[in-house]
Amino acid sequence: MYFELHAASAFSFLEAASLPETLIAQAARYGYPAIALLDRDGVYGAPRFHRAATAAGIKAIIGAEITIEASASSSLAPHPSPLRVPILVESAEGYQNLCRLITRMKMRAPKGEGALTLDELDGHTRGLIALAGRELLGFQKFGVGGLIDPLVGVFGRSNVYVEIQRHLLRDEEADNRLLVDVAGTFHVPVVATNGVCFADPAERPLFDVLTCIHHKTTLAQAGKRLARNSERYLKPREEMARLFRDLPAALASTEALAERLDYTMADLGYRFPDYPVPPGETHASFLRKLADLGARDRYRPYHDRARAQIARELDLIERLDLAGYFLIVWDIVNFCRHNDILVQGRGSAANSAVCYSLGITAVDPVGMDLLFERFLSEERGEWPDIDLDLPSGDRRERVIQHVYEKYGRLGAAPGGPRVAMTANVITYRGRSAAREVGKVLSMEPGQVDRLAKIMNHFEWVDPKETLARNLRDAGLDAEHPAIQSFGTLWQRI
Amino acid sequence: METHGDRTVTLDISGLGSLIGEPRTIGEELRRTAADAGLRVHVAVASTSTAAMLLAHARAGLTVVAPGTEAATLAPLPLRTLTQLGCGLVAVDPGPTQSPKPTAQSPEPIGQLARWGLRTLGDLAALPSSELSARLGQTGLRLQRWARGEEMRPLVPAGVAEQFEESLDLEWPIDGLEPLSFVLARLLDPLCERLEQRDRGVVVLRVTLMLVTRERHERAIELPAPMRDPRVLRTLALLDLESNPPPAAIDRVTVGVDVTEGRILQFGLFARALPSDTLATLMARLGALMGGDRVGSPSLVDTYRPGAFAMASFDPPRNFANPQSLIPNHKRDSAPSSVLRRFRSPVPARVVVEQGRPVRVTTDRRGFAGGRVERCEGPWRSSGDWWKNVWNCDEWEVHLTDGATYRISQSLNEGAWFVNGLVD
Repeated sequence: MYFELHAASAFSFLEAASLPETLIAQAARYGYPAIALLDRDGVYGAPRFHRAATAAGIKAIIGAEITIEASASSSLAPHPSPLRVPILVESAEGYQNLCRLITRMKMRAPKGEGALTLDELDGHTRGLIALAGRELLGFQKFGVGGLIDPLVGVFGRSNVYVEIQRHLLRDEEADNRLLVDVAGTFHVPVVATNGVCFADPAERPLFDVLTCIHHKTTLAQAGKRLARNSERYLKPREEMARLFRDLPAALASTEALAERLDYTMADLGYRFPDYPVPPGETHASFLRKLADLGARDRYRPYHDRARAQIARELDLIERLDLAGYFLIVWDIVNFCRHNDILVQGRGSAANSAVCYSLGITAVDPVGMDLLFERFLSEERGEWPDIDLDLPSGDRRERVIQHVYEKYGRLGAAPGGPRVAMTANVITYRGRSAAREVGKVLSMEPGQVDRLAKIMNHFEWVDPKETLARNLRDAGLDAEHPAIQSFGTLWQRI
Repeated sequence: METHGDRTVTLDISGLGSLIGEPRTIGEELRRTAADAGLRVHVAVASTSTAAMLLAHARAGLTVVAPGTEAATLAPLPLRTLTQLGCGLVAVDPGPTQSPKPTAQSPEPIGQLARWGLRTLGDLAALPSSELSARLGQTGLRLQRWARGEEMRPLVPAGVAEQFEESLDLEWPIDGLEPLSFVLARLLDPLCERLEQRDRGVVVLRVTLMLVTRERHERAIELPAPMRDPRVLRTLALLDLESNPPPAAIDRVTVGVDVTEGRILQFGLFARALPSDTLATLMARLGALMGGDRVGSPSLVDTYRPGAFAMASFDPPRNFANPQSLIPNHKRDSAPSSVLRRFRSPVPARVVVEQGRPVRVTTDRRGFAGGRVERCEGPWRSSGDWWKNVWNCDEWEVHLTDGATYRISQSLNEGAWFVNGLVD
C-alpha cells in the first residue's frame, strides 16, 4: 500500500501552501500510517509536523530537499538552474548529518539562499537516503543516468531510490520510462511519490499566489511559472495505487522505505550541555548547595515554608534531570552581574523558589503564593523555559559570546557543538497578506490600500466583524468574484 | 550655418559681399541684428571657421581677420582658448569653481602642454609637428592645427526640420468617404511630391478632420514599411476611416506624415522583393474587414491553456530567397515527426468511456467519420486561470478505426467532450 514520502509544507517558504498540521490532518483522513516532510533546505517545519503527527497517531518521517549546484572542483558540469535532491533521514546519525549539511550551506550564503556541492555531501551521508527523480536526468553530460551515478557514488547503492511521479503531464511519462530503465541499469529500487505541495486541490489557488509572490509577479503575468495542474496534492492512498498500478514495485517500495526510515523527532536524544561542576559534585548536588546558599541570602530568616518549597522543587528538578539547565542559566546571570549587564528572568520562572534563590528572578514566589507547577510540572512532560531579558546592542552580544565561548562553537567543544542561535519565522499578518494578495490579483493600488487598512486582526474580535462586513465598509462589493477570490486567499494565507 | 552647442554658431558668409558689403560691415550687421533681438554677441570674421570661433570666444565685440593672417592673429591668445572648440578638451588652471573633465581619448592634452611651459597658441603652433606627434599623437597635431587657425572640416549646415503637412478648408462640409477621397487625393499628391524630392518615406500617416461640431477626428495609421505612393496612402487612409468613420460632416482636412529617410535596398538576382505597398494595402483591407486585432501572425502565449495564442503584427522578411529560413531555429534534419492540426473551433464530440478511458468517438461534423478507439494515450491534465476564465481539462490522443489520430479533450467542469485537432 502507498506511503507518501515526499511532501512539502509552507515551511518551504513560498514553494508549498499547506501548514504541517494541515498535511497531517489530510494524511489522517486518508489513513496514512506514515508520511515524510521534505521542506526546501531546512527542517523548519519538522517540529510542528512531528507534534501533529504524534497527536494523530502517524509516523512523521523527516528529511529535506537540498539544493545542489555544480562547482569547479566537482566533475559535475554547470546546470542551468540549481537542482534539488530530496533526502530522507533514516537514523539519528542521519539527522545530525542533515542538520550539519544544512548549517554549512546556510552559514555561507545570504538569507534564503545557499547550495551544496556533491563533493561536500561526500562523507556526510550516513543515515540518509537520497531520491533521484526527473530533474536529475538533466545532467545528460554523464550519460543516460544523468546524476544518478554520482549520487550512488556518494550515498551508496542501497541508499538511493529512483523517484517516479505522475502528475498527468504529457512530457512526464517518457522521462518516467527512462527513470525505470536507469534504475534497472544501476540496480537501485524505484519508489513512487507525488511531490506534494499542498494538502488539497482547493489550496492550489493559494499555491499559485505564493508562486507569484516568490517570483514578484502577478497571476496575469506569471504564465508558465504557475503549476500546470492541481495534481501535486496529498492524494488518497487508493488513488495513488491506481495511478501506479503498472509499477507495483514502486508502490511496494514506499512501504518498505517507510519501514526502513526509523527516525522521528522523538529520537532527538537531546541533552543539555555539561556544566562544569567542582570535583566530587554532581549537577544536582551542586545545584542544591547553590540554592541553599542563595536561599539563606534571599530569605532572612530562611523559614520552613521556603525551605520546604525549595526542597520540593529540587527533588523534581533532580528527578527530571534538569539540574544542568538551571546551572547554565545561573552561570549566564552571574556573568551578566559580574560585567554590569542588566539581566532579569521573567515569565513563569518567577514561580520558582529555586530561580529566586539563584538570583535568576526577583520575585519571592513563596511569599507571593505563586504556583510552581505553572513553571515546571512532571505531568506536562515539557521542559522548563527561563527567559532572560537583556539590554540590546553590545552588552547582549557579549553575553551571547560568553555562551559560545563557554559551551563551544561549531565543533569546538568535546562531543561537538552545543550552542546555536534560534530565530523566529515570520508569517503573513492581516495587512501584509492583504497587500500581497491584492498585488498578485492585479487589484488597483487604491483598492489594495483600502483593503490593507481594514484587514486587521485584533486581540479582541468583534463577533459582528466579518470579512464581508469589512469589505463592504471599505466600499467593495463582497459578491464580486475578484473580491471573493481576494477574501478567500487572504484568509488562507 | 552650423551650431556648436548652445552658445556658438558659425556662418558661411561668402557670397554676402555683394548683398551687404565688406566682412566688417557684415559683422556689424550681425551684431546689430542680434542686439535688436536682445542678444549680446561676439563676432569674429576669418577665412576659416576654426580661427573665427577661437577669436569670437577670446575677444569681445567684432574682430575681423585678414585672409592669411589667422595664425598670427591667434598666436597671442592663451592656450586655454582651445577649450572652446567643443568637448573633449581639459581646462587649464581650472580655478576654484571648475573641475577638469578628462575624456576617454585624451585625458589631459592641454594640461600636458601647460606643464611643458607653453602658454599661447603661438607657442603651440611653433612646436615641431613630428615631435609633438610623437609625444601627444594625433591629438597633439589636431590641437596644433587649431592653434594655427587651420580648417579641419567643411561646415556642416544644420537643417531646419521640415514639416510635411497639407491642409484644406472646405467651402462646404462634406459627408462620406467618396467626396473625402477627392480631398485626400488633392492633399496627398503635392505632399508626396515633396517627399519624393526630399527622398523621404512615410512611416505614420495622420489624418485630422475638423468636424462641423467643432470636434477633431484624428487618425494615425502606422505603415508596415516607408512609402510615398499617394494612391496607396489615400487607400490606406480611406480604409482606416471606413472602420473609424467621423461622427459628423467635415469642414477641414489636414494630412500630415511622420517620415524617415529613403533607404537603398539591394536585392539578390534571384530573390523576389516583397512589394511593401501592396502588402500594406492588403493588411489595411483585412484589418478593415476583420478588425485590427484579428489580422496578423499567430504567436505563442506564456500559458499552459491548450490552444492559446495571440495575434502579433504581420512582419515578413524583405525577401524570400530561402523560405525555410522563415521557420525559427529550423533544422532540416530534425523536422518534427508529427504535428497537431488544431481545429480552431474545437468540434463537440460524443465519447463513450469505459473504465475511465475513451473507447468510441463520434461527432456530427460532416467528414469526420469517427469510430472505435484502437489505442489511446493520456489523460494529460491541465488547469488554470482560476481567477478569471477557468479551464480544467483532460486531453487524450486517440487512434481510431478510421485510421486517423485525434486529440480529444474533456472539460472537467462541464463534462463536455471535444475533438481539438488531428495529429498529422
